[in-house]
Amino acid sequence: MVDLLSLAKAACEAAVREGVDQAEGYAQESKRIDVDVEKSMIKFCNVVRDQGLSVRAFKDGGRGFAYTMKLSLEEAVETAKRAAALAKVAHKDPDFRTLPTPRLGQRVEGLFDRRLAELSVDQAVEWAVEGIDTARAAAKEAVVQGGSGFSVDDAALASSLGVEVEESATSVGVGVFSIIKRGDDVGSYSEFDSARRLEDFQPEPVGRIASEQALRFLGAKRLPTETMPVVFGPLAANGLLYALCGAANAESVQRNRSFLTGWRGRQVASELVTIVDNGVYPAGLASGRYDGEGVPRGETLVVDRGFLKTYLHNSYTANKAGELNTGHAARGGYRGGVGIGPTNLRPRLGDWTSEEIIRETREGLYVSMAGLSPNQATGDISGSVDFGFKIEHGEIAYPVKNAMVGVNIIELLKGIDAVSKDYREEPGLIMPTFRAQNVRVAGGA
Amino acid sequence: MRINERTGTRITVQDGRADEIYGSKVFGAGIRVLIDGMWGFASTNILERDELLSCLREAASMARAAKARALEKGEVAEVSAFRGRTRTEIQRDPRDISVEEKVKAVFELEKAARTLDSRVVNTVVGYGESISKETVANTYGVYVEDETLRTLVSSFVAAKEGEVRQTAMEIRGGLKGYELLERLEPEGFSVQAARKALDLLKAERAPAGRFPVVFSPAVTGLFTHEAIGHNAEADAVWSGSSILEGKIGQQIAAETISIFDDATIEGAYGSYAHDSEGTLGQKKPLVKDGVLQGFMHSLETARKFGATPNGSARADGHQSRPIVRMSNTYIAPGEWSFDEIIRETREGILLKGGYWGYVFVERGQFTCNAEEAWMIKNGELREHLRNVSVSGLTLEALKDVDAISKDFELKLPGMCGKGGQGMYVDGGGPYLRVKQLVVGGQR
Repeated sequence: MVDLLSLAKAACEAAVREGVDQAEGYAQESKRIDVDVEKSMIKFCNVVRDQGLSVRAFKDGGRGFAYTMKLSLEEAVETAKRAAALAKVAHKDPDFRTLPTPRLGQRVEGLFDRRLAELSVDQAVEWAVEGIDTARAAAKEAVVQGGSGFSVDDAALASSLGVEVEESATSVGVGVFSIIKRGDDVGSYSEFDSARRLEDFQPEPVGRIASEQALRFLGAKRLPTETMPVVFGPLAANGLLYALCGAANAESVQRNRSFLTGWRGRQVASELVTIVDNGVYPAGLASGRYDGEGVPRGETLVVDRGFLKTYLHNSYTANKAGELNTGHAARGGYRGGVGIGPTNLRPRLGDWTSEEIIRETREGLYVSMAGLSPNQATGDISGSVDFGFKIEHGEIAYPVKNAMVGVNIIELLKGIDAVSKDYREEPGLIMPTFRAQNVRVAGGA
Repeated sequence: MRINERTGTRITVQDGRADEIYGSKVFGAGIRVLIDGMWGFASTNILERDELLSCLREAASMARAAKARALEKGEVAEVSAFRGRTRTEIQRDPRDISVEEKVKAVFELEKAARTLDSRVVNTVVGYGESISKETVANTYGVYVEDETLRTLVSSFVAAKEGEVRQTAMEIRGGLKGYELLERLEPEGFSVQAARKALDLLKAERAPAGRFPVVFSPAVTGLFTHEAIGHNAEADAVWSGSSILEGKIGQQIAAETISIFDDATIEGAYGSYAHDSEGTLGQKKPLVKDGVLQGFMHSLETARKFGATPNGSARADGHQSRPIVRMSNTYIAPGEWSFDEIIRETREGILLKGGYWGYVFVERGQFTCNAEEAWMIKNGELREHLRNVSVSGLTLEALKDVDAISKDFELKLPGMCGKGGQGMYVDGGGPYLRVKQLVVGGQR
C-alpha cells in the first residue's frame, strides 16, 4: 500500500526546492461501490477506485495548483514542479500571509467503521433490493429508482510548515425515489438515509416512506397567488439554514459579493433562530478532526438568537481579516481547490411540536422540499415548491403543484415565529420544522 | 472499455490579480460488462496491463453479484465493427501559448470590467481549456479515438450601491482553441457583464403570479433543456420516469414548435464526434411541428425501443458509465420578429439570461431561473426586474407557446448534471412567448 503521507511530504519538499515560499500536498485513495436501481430493478453494480495527489504552491501569495492521478514518488515530484511553475506565473497576493501551522485537533469518534470498509457489493445489493421491495409493498404500482452504496476514503495532508494529518473515513447511503402514476396524475417522492458507520445506518424504512409520501402527492392542485405563512419541514428548513451559513463564507464576504457582507453583528433571523456549526460531532456526516488545510475543526456559533456572530474562515480569509480561523476550509478531494463551507448545522430547538405548528397555522403552505437557494448577492429566493401541501383550517389539506416562493432570505428568516422541538436527525445534523410569516407564494390558480 | 485522458488549465483573474492558476491531468480506464443481462462497471487510474485485467475481473464480479436480480435483462443494439479517429479542428492550439500570455489576455478582460465604474466591487474572469482524449472499444469491434478540445471563458461582476448589490455574468464556450479568448473584446463580454450588473442596481423586484412570459434565446435554451430535453432522454422514458412515455407520434406542443438535439453543430460547446459508446454524434429531431418524433438513445435504450442508436450515451470520464445525455438542444426559429412579440403582448414578462434550471421529469414540473427581466405593458418594455424564476408544467407550457421569433442563438454553454455526472452542453433558440407561466416574484 502506498504511504500517502510520505508522498504528500515529498511533494511539499519538491515544490519548495523549486523556489516557492510555501507548499501543501494532499494525497488520497478511495473506493466506492454502488448499486443503481432503475424501473424497480437492479440495473448496474459499480466499483470505482480512485487515487491522486494535488499540490498547492505559493510564491509571493500567488497560488499554483496541480494534480495527478498516479501515486508514485516521481509523479509527486513532477506535480509539485508543475504547481510551483504555475505559482510563479500567478500574480503576487499581499493578502496571503501564510498557510496554517501545525495544531493538534481533538479526536472525533465514529468517522471510520472497519465493518463497513470490509463489506462487499452483496450488501449494497441487499439494501437496494430492500428499498425496492419495501417501496412496492407500500404501493404496489410504485416505480422505484435510486440506489445504495458505500465508500472508504484515506487521505493525508502535509505542508511545508510541518502540518501532517492523516484521516480515514467511511460512508454509506441508500436512496429511493418512488413514482406512482394513476392516469395523468403522478405522485413522487425521494427519501434517503446516510451515515458514517453501520450502527447509525437505518435503510429499512426508506422505501416505505418514499412510497407513502408519493401517494400523498397524488391529486395535486394549483394555489392562488397570496402572501401567507409557510411551514418549512425539516429538509426545506435545513436547506435555508445551509444557504444562510453558506453565504457567511468569508471569501465571498471579503470579495463583496455575498448578501451577508456587512451583516456581522446584525440581525439576520428571528430571535428564535440560533445555529451552531459543529464540525466535530461524533460520526457526523460533515465531521472531521481537521478541516481541508489541517486546522482543527470545532464548534462555531454562527447565529445567536437571530444575530450573525461570525463569518466562516479558512486560513487565507482569516489572515486577511486578522481574525481567528474558524476551521472551515473545505477541500473537494485531490482534484478540488480549497474553499469554505459549513459542516454539521445544529439549530436550537423550539417549544412547539411540528403538529402544533401546522395546527396553529390556519391557512398556509407546508413545504417538504423546494428549490430555495438564494441569489448569493441579493439573498433573493425565487424557487419552486417541489413537494408541498396547502394547509387549511390547521390541517394538511391537499398537495400543491406549480407553486413558487418569492422572498428575501433575511426577511424570511426574520419572519420565523415558531420552531419545533421534534426534528429529523441525520448523523451530526438536526433538522427541526419552522414557520415563517408573510411569504409571497405564487400559484397558477 | 474506455480510456480517458484529459489535461486542463484554468486561470482566474479576480479583482486585478491572477491569484490562482490550476493545472489538471486526469487519466484512467472504465470497463463495462454485460453478463446474463446484468451490467457491471469498474474503473481504475492505473493504466497497466495487470491492473486493467484486474479491473475487468472486478467489473465482472459486480455484474455477477446481482445477475439473479436482472428482472428485465440488459441488452444492447447490435452495431457493426467500426474504426474512427477524430480531432477537434481549431485555429490556435492552446498548448502552443504560454501561460503568461493567457494570463495577460484574461487580465485585460477583467481590468476593463473592474475599471468601468466605482460601483463595481468584484470582478472575476475565468479561462478554462480542456483537452480530452477518449478511446472507446467494444466487443462488436468498434474502436474510436477522439481528441476534443473545449474552451470556456466566463466573466462575473458584482456591483454595489448603498445596500443594493447585484451580479451579472457573460459566458462564451465552444469546441474552439485559443482563438476564442484571443478574439474576445471586453466591450461585448466583460464590460457587458459589468453594465448588466450596474443596470440591475436600479431594477425592481419581480411580481408574483401567472403571466405571459417571453423567453430570450438563452432562456429558451434553458426551457428546452429542462422541460423537453430531460424528458426525451430514453433512459428516463424506459425507466418509467418521463412524461413523454408512450407519446411518440402524438401532438405534445404547439404546431409551430420543432425541437432538435444536435451534436454536430460546428464549434458548439455541446458538440462531439462520437459518444462514449463509439456511436457517431448526430442531429436528432425530438419534436417536429409539435409532434413527438423520438428520443435520445444509448445502445441499450435503442435496443429496448427498437430504434437506431443515435449517439447520445456520454460519460464524464473514466470513473463514470455512459448514460443518455443531451448535446446542443434548441427550438427552431419561427416567423415573428422580437419587436412584434413585445408589441403584441398586453401584459407580460421578458426573461433574459439563463442562470439555472431543473425538472422533475415524472411530473413534468420545470423551473428556470433568469438573470434579469422586464415588465411588458401595452406592447412596450417597462420596468427592469431583478433575477427571478419561472415554473410550469412541460406539456401545458409547450402547447401554450403562441409566438416564436426568427432569431436564433446558442447561448447556454455550460454543464448539465445528471446521475452525479457533469456534461458539456449548450442550448438556445429564438425568442418565444408562453401564454401563462408562474413567476416566483416577491410582490
